[in-house]
Amino acid sequence: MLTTQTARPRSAGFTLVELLVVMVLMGLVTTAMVKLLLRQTRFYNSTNELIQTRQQIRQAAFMLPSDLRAISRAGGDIYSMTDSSIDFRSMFGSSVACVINVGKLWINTVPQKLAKGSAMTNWKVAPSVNDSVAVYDDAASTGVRDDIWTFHRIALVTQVAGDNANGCSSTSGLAQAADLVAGNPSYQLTVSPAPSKTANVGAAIRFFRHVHYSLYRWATDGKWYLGYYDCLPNRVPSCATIQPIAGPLQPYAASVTGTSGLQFTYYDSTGVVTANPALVARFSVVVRGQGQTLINLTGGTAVPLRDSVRIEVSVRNRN
Amino acid sequence: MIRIRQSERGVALLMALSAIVLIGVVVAGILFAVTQDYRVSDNNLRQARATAAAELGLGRIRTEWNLADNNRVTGDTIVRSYTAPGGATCGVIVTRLPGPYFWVVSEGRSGDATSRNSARRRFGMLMRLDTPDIPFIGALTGRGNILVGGSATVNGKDAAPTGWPNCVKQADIPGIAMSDTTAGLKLPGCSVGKSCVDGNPKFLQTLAAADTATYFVYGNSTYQDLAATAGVVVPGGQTLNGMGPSVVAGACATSVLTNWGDPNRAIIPGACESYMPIIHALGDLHISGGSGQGILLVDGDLELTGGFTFVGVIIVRGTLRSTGTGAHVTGGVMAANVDLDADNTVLGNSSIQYSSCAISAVMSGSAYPKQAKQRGWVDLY
Repeated sequence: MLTTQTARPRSAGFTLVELLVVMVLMGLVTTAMVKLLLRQTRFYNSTNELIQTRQQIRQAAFMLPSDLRAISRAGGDIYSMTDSSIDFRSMFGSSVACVINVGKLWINTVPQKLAKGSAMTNWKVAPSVNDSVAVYDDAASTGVRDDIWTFHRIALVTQVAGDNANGCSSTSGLAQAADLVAGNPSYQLTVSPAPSKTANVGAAIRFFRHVHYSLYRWATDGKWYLGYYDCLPNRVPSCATIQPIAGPLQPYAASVTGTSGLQFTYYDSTGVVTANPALVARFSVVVRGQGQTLINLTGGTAVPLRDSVRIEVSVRNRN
Repeated sequence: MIRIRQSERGVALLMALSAIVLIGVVVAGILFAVTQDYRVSDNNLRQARATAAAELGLGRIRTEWNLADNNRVTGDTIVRSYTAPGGATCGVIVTRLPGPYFWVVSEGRSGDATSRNSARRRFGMLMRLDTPDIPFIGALTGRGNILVGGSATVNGKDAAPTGWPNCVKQADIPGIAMSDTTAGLKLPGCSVGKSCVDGNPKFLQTLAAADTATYFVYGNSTYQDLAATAGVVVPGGQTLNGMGPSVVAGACATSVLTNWGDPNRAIIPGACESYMPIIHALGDLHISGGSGQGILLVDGDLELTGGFTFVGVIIVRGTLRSTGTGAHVTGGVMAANVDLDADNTVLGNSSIQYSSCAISAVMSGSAYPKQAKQRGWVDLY
């Protein structure tokens, strides 16, 4: 009798050896992947920290030159200066006088928008009461030597729109009738003391505040920052509380150590370091940033991130 | 027997996908860092280029200043554009303000202005004409003796040059100012009525006329300062004939030595009417005939003949001689007589007429604008 044998299906499976080999291999691959991922995460975090720190340094490096460049050394704009702080008149706007009324204590600005693109009136923020203005005074002679800037406090700001003598009229030649519309007013500044009698229509106006920049330790986190405050006459208290505007930076240290978070050096026009504010022709500013966490870009030991930038600012108003 | 091959299960696809994801993450991380750095560097570069271009505009507008622009009316604008190295561009708008002022706005741009990848910086500068204060004590001020004869006249009563518009009469001044009007002043031909001299007063005796500073120091400026900015320099010992405006292709030819501007005022203004040069003669100078306007500085002696007509200021270090048909000067004349070896002579048909308007016009017309003191430069936002 023929016996029929049914073919036994091959049972799929792994031998123990196969399993062991696969597990070891997968373990190796997984370990490598995890290691790579961890390293990548570290790299990403470190890069992010680097970017943040550099951004803070750049912020400080951008703000300071913008303010320092317009300083007038001969005009006494620097109140005080040290290796880690400076107090000065910071210009935040400029304009041209369209009307000067000595009796009524008025100085009217040319409107901001002019069809000819002359940008005679331009500011970061609109001037307000207690801001200070400097007005160019042609004085008696026809030359530049006896010209001066007179300083005044703004007691009242009134916006005057339209083409009329109380604002800025088209007959002044400084603005055209089409410029003098609602929404583009002349700012009538009532000032104290009165404008000079020898300051004429067309005189330049500068808006400024006393500002302070310094390296300081913020009480909230104990770290060092570039701090800023401004002062206004008649405000109580006159000077605002110092605020961090960029950082953290490295802690203060004497300038000779070369490690201070913010380091000012002042040079005269011959390139010699000076401590006399009236002689400053160039500022050298070093900003040294410090990361908030340790970074590890190379896979070695994590270290605190330190980076720095040095800026040379030549003052534009030397004469 | 045919053996049916069953599928072999594995992890190759999974592994490959994981590897791709992993490599992708690594590459993305690196790209992130590189892109950030690139963007920051690119932005900084564009900012620096825009800043440099804006500064360039402020500089170029001063070095390329056209003196004719001094006479623009309030509100007039001058528009210029420049290209800086690196492809940045700069647009400059100069606006004439009342008085001696000009307001300059220079806007530098780098990158494609229509995209986000561009930078812009704008600076402003107040410029003012730095006009010297020349102290005219008299229509003719002399340190040495003065002789006025023939039918010559010297008049200190303020008058506008013939045909000049918009002149406002100012105070009269003495006709002749000198240190010794008794022995030093000779008036042959009009000694009785002294009608050849007029002014308020006709003569002024003042020690200031004996002081060389009166002739060479002008408040904020000096004779040397003025001479240093001269647009026309004449070698010493020259004789110049037939002075007059020279126009080439409709433009005033300022390089022509005998072109000292056009003192006439026509209904349709001539091309050289606004040209008021500072002329510096490096020694003696003889001018015969013609006309001109501006500031004439003579290091030696000055001789005027042939009816030469001049509107403006004449300052002579040596001696002034105006003879024959002489010269007709409207403005003011000073002779320092540094050697005190000869008389200043105004003879023949000569005339010297004081004109505050002429003096003011040539002073501002020949002055170059300077950055205003202390806070002329501003950052615009």
